Amino acid sequence: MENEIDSIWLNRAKEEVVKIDTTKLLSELDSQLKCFDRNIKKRNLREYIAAIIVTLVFGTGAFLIPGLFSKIGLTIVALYGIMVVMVLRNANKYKPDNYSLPTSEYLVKHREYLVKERNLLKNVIFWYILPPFVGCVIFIIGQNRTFPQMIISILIIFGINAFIYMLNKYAVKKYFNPLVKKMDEAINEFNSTEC
Amino acid sequence: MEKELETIFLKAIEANKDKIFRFCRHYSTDADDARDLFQEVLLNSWKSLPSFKYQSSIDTWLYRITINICLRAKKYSDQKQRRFVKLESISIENIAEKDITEEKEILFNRLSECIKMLEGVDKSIILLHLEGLPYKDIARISGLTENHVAVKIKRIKNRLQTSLKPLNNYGK
Repeated sequence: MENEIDSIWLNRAKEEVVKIDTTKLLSELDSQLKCFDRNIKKRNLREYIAAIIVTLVFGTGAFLIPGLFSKIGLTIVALYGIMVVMVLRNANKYKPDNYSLPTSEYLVKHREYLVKERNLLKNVIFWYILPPFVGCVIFIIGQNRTFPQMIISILIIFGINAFIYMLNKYAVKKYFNPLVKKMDEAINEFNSTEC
Repeated sequence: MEKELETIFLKAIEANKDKIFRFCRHYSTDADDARDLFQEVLLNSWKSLPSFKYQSSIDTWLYRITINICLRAKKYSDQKQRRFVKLESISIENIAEKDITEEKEILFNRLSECIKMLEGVDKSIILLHLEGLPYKDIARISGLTENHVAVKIKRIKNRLQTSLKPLNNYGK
């Protein structure tokens, strides 16, 4: 009875056959890998440049603009530039790119990575939103603006940050939760002896 | 990279390419998708080759990469992730050299559809089995015990058998 499945599998009329030009294959694989590496280096460079610009602009501001509150506010934002890059770098370390692991281990590692990414977005308020928000608010307070001007400025910054927060919440709900659920199902299914 | 390792890699690819492609076919929506997935498997195997430690056979190692890439692709299928790999040294040809009756071909197509509908991990285990890998190798690839693999295969086959039953009866 069970062997019927094997027999059906073996008795297939059409066969898709892969032809590989082995002399070209290795050089093609090499050039593809170099291309990927270049793209990763470019992306990393962009992140570093953005962080350096933020740190330089706000750091210079902290040095030049008078007033204690302004200096504190700008220093917080300058440090935030570095912190964001560090957090993102750290998250990338967990990317499961060792595909030669046994499937059971790979699934667990992939789940860990997804959960870390999800937590990063869930906690976006602490590492991405609050530091620049607090920095900006302190800076605005130090600018000796009128009370209505101060409130309007803070409300605008609050609105922008609230929007960023909502976008991240949406990404967790729409993208990461279903992925983690799928991964949990795969792991459970893998470990169960029932089919 | 060591020349010896390169030769081992090429030999392993040559020996397993059709099986790996059939694997990719069952995790893909169409032939183009399968080709992309196959190329991704080759690229990632090549990338991981320096870390190959001879602790398992290169075939086992290759199947591990194939399954993990296929499972990852399936998880991200909803995101329509774009694949960038384009290898011109690979071509896929259709051959129909076996003299198979129409009835058997219908059965094979139905079986293939049923396998495609299985969940990712069950699919990989039954495909490894149908491609002729022994339980011991499937256990090494998946990280399950041999007994667990045997139980899973038996149950998956029963499910497939149940799905094929109406057609089988029709054919008789």
